[in-house]
This record gives sequence, C-alpha cells and structure tokens, in this order.
Amino acid sequence: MRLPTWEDLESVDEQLDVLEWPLDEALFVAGPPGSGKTVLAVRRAQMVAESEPDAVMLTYNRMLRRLMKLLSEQSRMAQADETPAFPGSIATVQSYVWRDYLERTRSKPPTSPDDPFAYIWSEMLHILEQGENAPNRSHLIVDEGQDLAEGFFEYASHYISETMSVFADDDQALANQRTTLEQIKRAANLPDPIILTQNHRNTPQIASLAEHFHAGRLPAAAVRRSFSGEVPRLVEHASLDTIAHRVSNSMQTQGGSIGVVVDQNETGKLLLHPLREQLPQHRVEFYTNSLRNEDQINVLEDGVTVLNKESVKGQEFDTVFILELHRFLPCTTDSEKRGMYMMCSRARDNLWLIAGPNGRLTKGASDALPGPKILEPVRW
Amino acid sequence: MVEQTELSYDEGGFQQPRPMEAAFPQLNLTVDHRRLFRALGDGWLRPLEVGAGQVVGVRRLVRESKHPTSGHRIAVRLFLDASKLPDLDTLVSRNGQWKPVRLRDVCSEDDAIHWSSAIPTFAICAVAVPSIEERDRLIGMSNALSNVDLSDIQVTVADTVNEYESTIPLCEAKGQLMIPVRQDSIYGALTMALWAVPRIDPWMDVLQASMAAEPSRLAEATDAVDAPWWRVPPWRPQADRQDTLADSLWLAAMDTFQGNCDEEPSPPRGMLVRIADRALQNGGAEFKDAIADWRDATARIFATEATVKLQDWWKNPVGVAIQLVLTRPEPGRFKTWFKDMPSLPPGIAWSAATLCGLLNGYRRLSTDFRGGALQRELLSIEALSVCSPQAAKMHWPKGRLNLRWRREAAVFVLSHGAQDLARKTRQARGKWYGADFGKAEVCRAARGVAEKLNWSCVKVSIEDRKIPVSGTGKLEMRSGGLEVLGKVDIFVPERGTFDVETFRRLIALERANVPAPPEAKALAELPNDVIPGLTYEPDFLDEEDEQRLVEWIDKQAWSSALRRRVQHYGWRYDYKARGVDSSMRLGELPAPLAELAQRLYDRGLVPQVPDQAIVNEYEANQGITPHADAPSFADGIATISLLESWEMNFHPPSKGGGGRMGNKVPRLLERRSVAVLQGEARWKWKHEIVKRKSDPYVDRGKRRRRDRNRRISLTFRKVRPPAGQASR
Repeated sequence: MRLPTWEDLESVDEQLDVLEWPLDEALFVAGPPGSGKTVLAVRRAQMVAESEPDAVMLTYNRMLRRLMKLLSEQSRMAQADETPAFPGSIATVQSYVWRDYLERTRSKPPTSPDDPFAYIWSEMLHILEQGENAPNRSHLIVDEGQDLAEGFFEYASHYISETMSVFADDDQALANQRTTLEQIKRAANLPDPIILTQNHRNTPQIASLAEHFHAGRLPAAAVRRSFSGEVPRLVEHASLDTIAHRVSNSMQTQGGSIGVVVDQNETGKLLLHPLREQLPQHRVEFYTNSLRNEDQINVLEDGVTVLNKESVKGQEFDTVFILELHRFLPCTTDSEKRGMYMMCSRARDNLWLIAGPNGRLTKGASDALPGPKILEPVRW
Repeated sequence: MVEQTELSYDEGGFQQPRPMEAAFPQLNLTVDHRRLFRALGDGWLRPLEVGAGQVVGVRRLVRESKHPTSGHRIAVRLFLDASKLPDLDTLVSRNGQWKPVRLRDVCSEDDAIHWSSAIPTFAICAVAVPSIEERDRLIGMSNALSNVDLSDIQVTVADTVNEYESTIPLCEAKGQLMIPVRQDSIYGALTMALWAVPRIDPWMDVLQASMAAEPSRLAEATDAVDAPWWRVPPWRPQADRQDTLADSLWLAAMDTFQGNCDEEPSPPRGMLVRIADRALQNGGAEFKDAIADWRDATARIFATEATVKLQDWWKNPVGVAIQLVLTRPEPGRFKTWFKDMPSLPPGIAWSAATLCGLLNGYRRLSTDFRGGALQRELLSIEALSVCSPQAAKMHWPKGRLNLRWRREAAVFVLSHGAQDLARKTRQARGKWYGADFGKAEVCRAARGVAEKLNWSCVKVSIEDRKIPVSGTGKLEMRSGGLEVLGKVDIFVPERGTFDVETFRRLIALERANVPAPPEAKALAELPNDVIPGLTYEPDFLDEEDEQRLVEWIDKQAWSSALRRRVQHYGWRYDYKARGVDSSMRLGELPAPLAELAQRLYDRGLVPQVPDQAIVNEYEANQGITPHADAPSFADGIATISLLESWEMNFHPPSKGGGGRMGNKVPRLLERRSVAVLQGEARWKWKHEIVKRKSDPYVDRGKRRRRDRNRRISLTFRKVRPPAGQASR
C-alpha cells in the first residue's frame, strides 16, 4: 500500500475533508469498503500522534493491528532508525480494554458465559461509575467501529479519551455484533459523520464487477486513476497445478502484493508448496485466524498471501485470485452476496475469479455472472 | 555562482548584458495548502486562471485572489527567492499604479509585482502558517503524500499569516509563459533517467551526451553500448528514424506514453495495442512480423501464460523494456524489477525506467526518485526549455543544464558547472571500469567471471593462415561474428590473450549477476581488525540459561514503538529524545535480569552494576543502523545474544571527524555470547546490524551463509544521573 500522490487525493474531495480535519477535534467517518477508511484512519492516527504522543489507536482484530503497524512504519518520519515507528500506541480493543479495566478495578472484565471474548459492557460501566475514573488519553482513534459493541464506545468516551476519531462501515460487518452509525455517534459523543461515497481503492473495472454482487448501499463509481485497470477475468475451470503456475507467473511479471482467497483452508495449504517452489525469491505465506501468525506476515511486502474469506476482510492487494468460485457461487442470500462483494473489492488492479481446483461452476452460477465486458471469460 | 553576464531575452529581442543585482527583495504570496501541495507535486505554482499571471507581494502582504476562507483550509504564506527566477518583464505596483519593469529592477520599496507566469517551486525558500496545530497538520498531511516533501522547506508559525493588503489595484495583465502539457512527461523522463542511469562509464557517457544537443557525440556514445535507439532520447525528439525494430518500438512507445499522464490512463493491454499499431504503421515492412510476434508474446504475459523472458533479450531490447514498463507501470512498483531481476541488462533497465518516467510524468513520481534541490531545479528548467521555444530563450540564473560526470573514490558524481547535483555509489559492474587490470588478481578475477558467464573474451589473432576445423557442426560468417551451428573443434596456433576491452564491453551490456572486482589490498594490510575497547566472551550463558531467559522474555509485554519489538527495564529510554530522565525510572531490574547484571559486574566485564536493560527482538531482515549509544549511559555497555548468531559491523571513527565512516569491521556475535563496549569502542565507534536475510559463518573451513530467523539481544547499561537532577 503505497502513499498516494497529491493528484490521487485531490480527485476525492471527501478524503481531503477527512485529512484536513483539525487534529484536536473529534471526527466521525463512515463509508463502504474501498472508500479508503483504513488508510485514512492510519493517517489520522499518525498525524494526531505526532502532536500528541499519548494518542492511542484501537482496532478490531489482530491482522488489522498488524496492517496498521506496517502502514505506520511506512511513514517518512520513521525512516531514520531509533525513532518510534508510531509515536502513539496501537492495540486491539480486546487487549487494551482488558488491561485498562484491570488497572482501574484490579479485576478482570466480566465476560459472557457463552463467549469469553464478549465483555459485559453494562456491568463494566456500572462498576467503573462507582470509582473515580477519568479518560487518560488525549485522543483515541478507532477503525472498523461497526464491529465494536455500542458499550465499548460508552466505555471509550468515558474512560479512554474525550476526543475520538472513529472510522466505521455499516455495510460490511461479518460478525453478528453490529452497531449502527447512530448508536456509535450517540455512545461516543461524535459529530455527524463525514460519509465517504467514492471508491478509492479499486479501478473502475473492478468496481463494476464488485457492484454486481452488491446488496445494499453502494459506493459511487470508482475514482482511482491507474495505468493498470484491467477487466476482471473469469476462469471456469483450473487444476491446482495450473493455478499455482499462473499465480507464480503473475508474481514474476506484475509483481506487487497478491492475495489468493480460498474457501477451504486445505486448498490453501496444498497451494503453498508449489507456490514456494516456483517463487523461491518471493514471500509466500498462508494466513488463518487459527494459526495466529499475523505478526510474521508482512502483507505489504510484495509477495503472495494465501488466506480465507474471513481473514481477507479489511485487506488490500494489488492482484487478487479468488479460487473455489464454485463454492462461493451462486449467491442465494444477501450475506453471500456481501461476501463476494467484499472479496472482489480487495483487489486494486487485477482480479481473477477461478472455479476450481476440484469443481466447476453450475449452469445456474454461470448464468448469473455478468457479461464479458465486466467479467472476461478466459481459458487456462 | 555562475557569472551572470550572458545575453538575456525579453519580448522585444535581446538586450545588452548587465550584471545582476547583489540582493533581491523577498517576495511573498499567501495561498491555501491545497495549492501548495499541488505545486510541490508538479514543480510549478500555476496561475489560478489559464493564461493569466499572478500578483505577488514585495513590501505588502498579498493573498491569492480566490483564497478560500471556509472549511479547514490552511493559509500558507510562501516566501519566494526572486534570485532564482528569470529576469522577465513584470509589472510593478508602485505608488498605487502598475508600471512595467524588469524583475531585477524591482526594489524593496515596491508594493507588489505581477509575475506573468507560473512560479517554479524551487523558488520557495520558506513558508509560514498561522498556528501550531496548522503547522502540525500541514506537515502531517505532507507526510501522507508520496510526491510532496516539505522537509527541505522551513515551516514557521506566524499569526500574521491571515493578514493581507487589500489596497493593491487589480491587475488585468496576461501571462507570458505557459507550461506546456508535455513538460511534465519530459520532466518525469529526465528525472527517471538520472535516477536509473547504469553506473558504468560508457552509460554515463550516453547520459551526458543525451543531455547536450550534440548528435555526433551521442551517436558515438550509444554505439559504444549497442543502444542506437538512445540516439533519440525522449527529451530530444527528432525526425522519425525507423531503421530498426528497436527504433520503431522506441518511438511508438514514446508517442504513446508522452502526455499520457494528463489523459485518463488506459490499461496496459490498451497501451500495448497502441504501441504495436504505431510501430506497425511507421516501421519498415521487414520487421512487421517481429512487431506482431512481440505484441502477441506481451499479450500472453498479461494473460499470466508467460513471464518476461530475458534469454534472447538482444533480439529485441526495446521490446523487453516496454514489457517491463507495461507490467509494472506505477513507479513504485516498477522499481521492484531491480530487486526481482538483478541480472537485467543495464540498457534495458535504463530504457525502461526512462519510459516509466515519461508515462507517469514528474507529478506521479514519489520524492524518492526526485533527487536533490539543485537537480530538481535544473531538470525542471530543462524540461520546460525542451517543450517551449520561448522558455528556451529565457535567461535562468543558473543557466541551462550542463551535465558532466566524473568518477570519485566510490561514487559517480554528476555536476553542473562547479556544482554537484547527484552522487551515485558505484556498483559491482561499474567498479570493473576503475579496476587496475595491470594487477594479476584483477585479471584473474575477470577471467573467472568471463569463464563462469561463458563470455568470449579471449582473443586469438591469426593472419593469413589456414585453421584446421573438425566436427559435425557448421561455421557461418554472420554480421559481427562467426556462428557455430552444432559442435565444431577449432585448432588455433597461439595462446589467446584476455581482451580487457571486450570484457568491459560485456560488463556494460550483458545480462548477468556480475560480482565486483577484488578491492585493492592496501586496506587489508592495515591492522584493521582491532576494535579498541571491545571485550567478547563466547558462551557467557549456557544452553539452559538461554532457554530459561527466552521463556521468561516471551512472557513479558513487548512494546511495538519501534520497527522491532522491545522491552525496557530499569529505565525507559526515549528513542526520540535519545535519553532518559528521572521520570523514566521504572524500578529495579526484574530478578532474571538483575542476576545477569550482577554476573557481568562480578566477572569484571563492566565497571558498575548495570541498572537498565533493553530486550530487542530482531526478526529476519531487521537490523539497526550505525549508531553509538546515547551519552546518558555510562561507559561499559554489554550485549548478550540469544537464539542466533548474527554479524555486527563496527565502524571506526572517521579520520577528519566528518560524517563519513571508515572501513567497517564485522564481528559475529555468537548465540549466548556477550560483547562489551568500553572506551573508544563505546564512545567513538559506531555499531550496526545490517538488515539482511542471512549471515555468514564458517563451517569446517568453508564459508557459508545461514538464514536469519529470530535473534533476541539483551543490552545492559548503567544510566548516568542526568546533569542538574542528581542534586535535587
């Protein structure tokens, strides 16, 4: 993920509005995937933390935390070694609140009996109200706010920081726990959101395919200018070997970061060996939530990252290969459509949809796909 | 400074030369930050209206006429150095009236001037904003942009920035000089050409000749490197020469890429079709098939059916260069070719980089590519002059670019008159040109390289004589050489001689990973392996110690404030301020570390018991740049290495006290060892761990490399009581 040029930014007024927001004021930003929220959140955090080093940035999951850290390391300020990569601190909400609550109350946060990760916010807020507790950070920056509980925002505005910058999406939530913009605004005491409507990530060619799967609010036409905007391509059938060979060719020619999305982790594991063999010079890695290996994976470094549908959320790659299309299609529910939309919109420049290995598209699934101007069929 | 006595130009023709004033009044103009960023991105602050000029303050404070006051715009006052501008006709506001004068005749008593053109950003010498928050925000925003760098412009805070003079009369004058659209493309090509020029003597000649308008010297230089297409550099377009496949593709790519940066970008497959069509239209019938083949092969690359092939690169070097650009068109990505294909023939790499600059234009190049201030200034004027005959006649204070190259100890220096504009480290290939082939070891190494790469560098001179040949193959004379088909044995009478010129030529041209020549021996004769003040003890810990320590460390919380993970004990260390103060005391060292600190002291390795410890975790490809530890720590710094053996380089203090470092001395810090720095090694020497993926080691007399994984280092130091606080 490279820094934008001024021209890239200038073409998207709403992004500028966010970037230009005074550093000492609360900010609320909402937008669909691809509108550039995550990058804006990191930039915001960097700029705020440069003037207020006790600022803290909290994120929803661990892979994201890694992404944020990497992004912040790219900043020019961190070029000279021995200066902090990010002057504030970055943590997941889960771990930050755990420590904060423990420090304040000398006891662990209460969790739901069914889910040890689900804090019981009402109880925590009630207990903290009893003592003398006050916010202790000058600024809190939160990304993926829609995935966080309403109770967290109350906790944050009362006990973390009175000044918050929250970036949220109300369209992409994969988790059941889903908080609306109105709830966030009220709980965190924020101004009206700046609503991002433009697609900043994908080329127009990729955006039009993603829109095909969309069920809900849409970002407007893509605004990204790129010399690499190709029409996404559809491969109706391919073997594992062919897929490995083509992915490796793509790595060797276009280079950049490549995401290979699988439905079955088993398929990902099978791909890993031939890919590593064919790309001895490049980074080839497999990420799953259960491996918990995100700290070892540098998704921004050029190379191939194999991951599943759940892990790809919030990521961005120059080129994306979505494998096992036959398992994702046809989409029968809105949630399945959202999933396809989310996966397609991970790609910046190049997108390949591939049925296989070990499967073909059904006639119904094939018929429901858009025509060759939007999705160009090719044979491998 | 260059003498300013040449003829200068104005609308009416040439005037008599006259000396420039010694000092110029400073000019000011307040714009909003968006205008500043746009200008820094492209090199020019363009007038708000096409064809207009702009009013700039001299004695009075002037704000741009359409200055927005709403939203969160930041008012930025630019201070301009008029001595960097050409001496154009301007209008000056004197006593409430506009009068025509030359820029050099403007005096500090004047209110304002009307500058009839865009303002080059190299004239901006400082900026001011109204508040600290706005300064932080301005710098923060610039850090988020790839093509804007504020680091060499001073940003100050002044609450007068929002003031401006409203009594300056309107000026309706037209602009004199427009910046042509093509300028950005050409500026981009020039910038990338300088960035990527192969650091090898004959290519430096091509660069130098391509910048000067001397066709015969350029032809000579390009012939020397077999790159005839460079006779038409992108910034010196000429009547079409389409004698060869290379020429027709080169010109077609230039036509297609130039000015593209202002249009809606077209996808690579679209550009491919346009280049091939243009080349087919222009090119001679004899290479129509070759162009079509190239087009189809490139299309297969886009379909991921094939990759860029270098095997037969010499058949179509320009075609390969275009493939490199089309597959990675964005400059940041393009750059990765150099890492992915270190064996790229220099001519292809350079041609492709230059085309990449032409395609993207200067505006889309990140600041990494742009070079220093002088280079930016001269190339910007050069690009403008190439595109605009009017600008070409203008008198710029530094003159037009007059590029020369020279060799210094380890670098190539590019200069303009007496000023250096870029320094480029010589790499392996370039070092062969300075190497002394009179030395046996250099010749031996060269022969070794030639043999390994299968280069024909041995010359056998034969006169008037029949040469016996046997075998089943055939010999054919082709242009430039004898072609052997199949297997043939040739019996020559004399021993051949190693032809250095041929070897050097191949060094400059061929596709290969070329190793550097052996360095002069003189250095090795110095006793350079002594690091005064370094004590080293292998196996300071035993395996059980190590395992227990690592387990303990992994249970503690890591700080991710740096690129690598760290833990601080005893005292927190502020990396930014490079020090500690009394507020940073964290408490006693935890037991496992306190025990080690005591052991270091007991064994006489350190003069005092350390009270601060930092745990550093290095993952493969992480390192630490050369540094000496901060003075807030006392003498005697101990580093214990865990899990892996990595190499640390020690840099001796420079002789003249300048910034350059002397010859480094590498030392392997073995797993479980301790290294202690005292005296000179602690205060005067610098140490570093190079960021790389593997480290050398010796196994049964053989040099090998071992991949890095994870190393943990424990650094023990004693904090010196901060001055003035000890007495409190």
